[in-house]
Amino acid sequence: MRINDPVVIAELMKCHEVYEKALIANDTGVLDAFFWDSPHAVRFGVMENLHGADEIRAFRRGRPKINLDREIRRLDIMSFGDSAGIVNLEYMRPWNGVEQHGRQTQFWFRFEEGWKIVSAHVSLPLEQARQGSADAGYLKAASDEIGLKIAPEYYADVNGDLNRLAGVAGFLMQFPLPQDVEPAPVFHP
Amino acid sequence: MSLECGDGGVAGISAAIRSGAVTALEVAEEALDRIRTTDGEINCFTAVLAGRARAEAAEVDRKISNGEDPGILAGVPFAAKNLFDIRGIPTLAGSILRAHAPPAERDAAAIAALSKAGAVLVGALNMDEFAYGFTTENSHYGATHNPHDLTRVAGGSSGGSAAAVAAGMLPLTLGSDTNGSIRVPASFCGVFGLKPTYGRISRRGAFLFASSLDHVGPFARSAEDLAAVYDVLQGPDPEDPVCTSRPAEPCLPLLRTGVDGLRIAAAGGFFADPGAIQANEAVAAVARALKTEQVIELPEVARARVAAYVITASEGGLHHLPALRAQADKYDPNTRSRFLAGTLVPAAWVNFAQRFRSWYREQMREVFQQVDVILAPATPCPAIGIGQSTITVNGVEVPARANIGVFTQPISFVGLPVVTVPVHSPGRLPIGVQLIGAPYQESKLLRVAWELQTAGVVSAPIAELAGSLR
Repeated sequence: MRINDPVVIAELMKCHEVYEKALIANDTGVLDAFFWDSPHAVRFGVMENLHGADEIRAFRRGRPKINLDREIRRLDIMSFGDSAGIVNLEYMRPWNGVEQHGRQTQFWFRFEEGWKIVSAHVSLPLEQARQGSADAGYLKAASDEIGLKIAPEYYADVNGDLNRLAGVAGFLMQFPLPQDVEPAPVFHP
Repeated sequence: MSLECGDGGVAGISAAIRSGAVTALEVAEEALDRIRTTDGEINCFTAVLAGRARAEAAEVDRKISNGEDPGILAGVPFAAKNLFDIRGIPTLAGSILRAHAPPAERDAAAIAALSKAGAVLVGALNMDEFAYGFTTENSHYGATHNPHDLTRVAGGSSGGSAAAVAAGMLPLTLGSDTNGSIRVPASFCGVFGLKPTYGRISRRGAFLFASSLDHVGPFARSAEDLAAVYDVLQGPDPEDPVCTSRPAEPCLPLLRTGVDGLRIAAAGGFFADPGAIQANEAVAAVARALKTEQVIELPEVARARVAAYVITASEGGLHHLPALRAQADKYDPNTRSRFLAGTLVPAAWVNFAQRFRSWYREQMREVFQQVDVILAPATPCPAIGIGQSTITVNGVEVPARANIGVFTQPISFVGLPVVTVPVHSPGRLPIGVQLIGAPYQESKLLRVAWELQTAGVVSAPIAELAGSLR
């Protein structure tokens, strides 16, 4: 068995490039075609655990098309024989004004119809992951209190929106508003 | 539109019908034809009500032949954003969740008022889901395309309403505006739009988004059309809890009285973003025509915008809480996470934002001691591309969806009336300028709009659609 056969590495590099382009454009057709269409396929995202091709597809369809751009800092591709390979990369992506340093691992296998990702894992370093989980903590606790069950595949986007709101609400509440100003329950302009 | 109807506007059509030069039924058929041949590629309509339109038009014709008064809007065809109740069909509010809602039992107040004045309803118009967006890129009902460039958005959330007027399908439509949803599409589609004073036009029968900030209002192609329609729409309605009891103050009689004595200034600072080149040029052209060089600074505008955002998120989210509990998966991916996040907004933020609103209203009252009309851009740029996700504001690339309303949000926040006037220049897409007034001073804004229109600085020409569409 040859490890890192240049021909196989070149094939995987080409697959990676096409996949990355589709990821940034959120071209779900291309992304779906690259993932193993099987209930055994797995994708662990930063906020979501997806089991099977159906869950992976559903997540992609629900994802907003903004802010998917990322800069790849380091890329390592390995191959084992002519039908197994791993693509590891580190990326930078701004999210809610904070630069995220993320990691991604994909296991690729060559089927008769071509190379497919059978398993993938995306994560953030511990400090950022803690921050994310603390946010999800508020989301879970607050939504429980009002009897709203939010599906985990929406956590990342809802947290993003909550973080944006928190950012601007902080700016709003720095304003030295006189204590005696009341809200206008019925508002006459 | 028939030659008998002049420029095909509200005034021209109703005059031609009342004079007997053309029948209301002929005008209705012509509008239905135009919709059939042009809407395929623009996608304004979610329902075309041909039967109702013909019946209402026939009734107008019957009144005329009997010598009865058919109303000031006799036979004027119009349509409404699909968040207005229309008797007999479900009120979609841009959502598939409501596709099987029970049909509305009666027309929304604004539709009823126009019908009573003789106007003829021909359909319901596309919008961002539940009005939460500035682009009318609706995942369920498709994007509405800008008639001036089909690759671009019409603006939102009342995108179908603005595009139907810009494409010459109709001379009059109804929309709603919470943070800019009349003014943004009016700017992108190059038509006139009126967001009245908060509470001046009844919202009864309109599917609300964020009640503290919701307004309804018309789109048209001229100042005189807006004035005629506004006079029909304005006035008290005990069925809308925020509708003012203040009697109607007709604007049409004062429309041509000029602008002498009006103190007019352009908004500076926040509203004069050096990067918003075409927007600044449009404001400068309007200011020049009005012979004003005065610039006025509005206080704490950035916070006003944020406070509107917080109130919208919270009221919008909570309005949808029962539906989100049951069917969050049925929401448009473009709105879902924002509605969900809105349900979780802490009361501390919302209460502060509402109190800040009272404070900011006082500041604006003082500003209007010094001026009568404030000029500001309606949008930071002309229509963006369909699918375009970012725009540049103050030199920073920001998400388009949330930021197109940067100049409209701080104004509707305290319910000030605004007429958006369209500035067209050769080889470029149109862009709108906001004429902002003190509460209940719509008349002054319409007078300024008329003056600008007469000077040729603002206009709403029907878009030249590609030959294949005709």
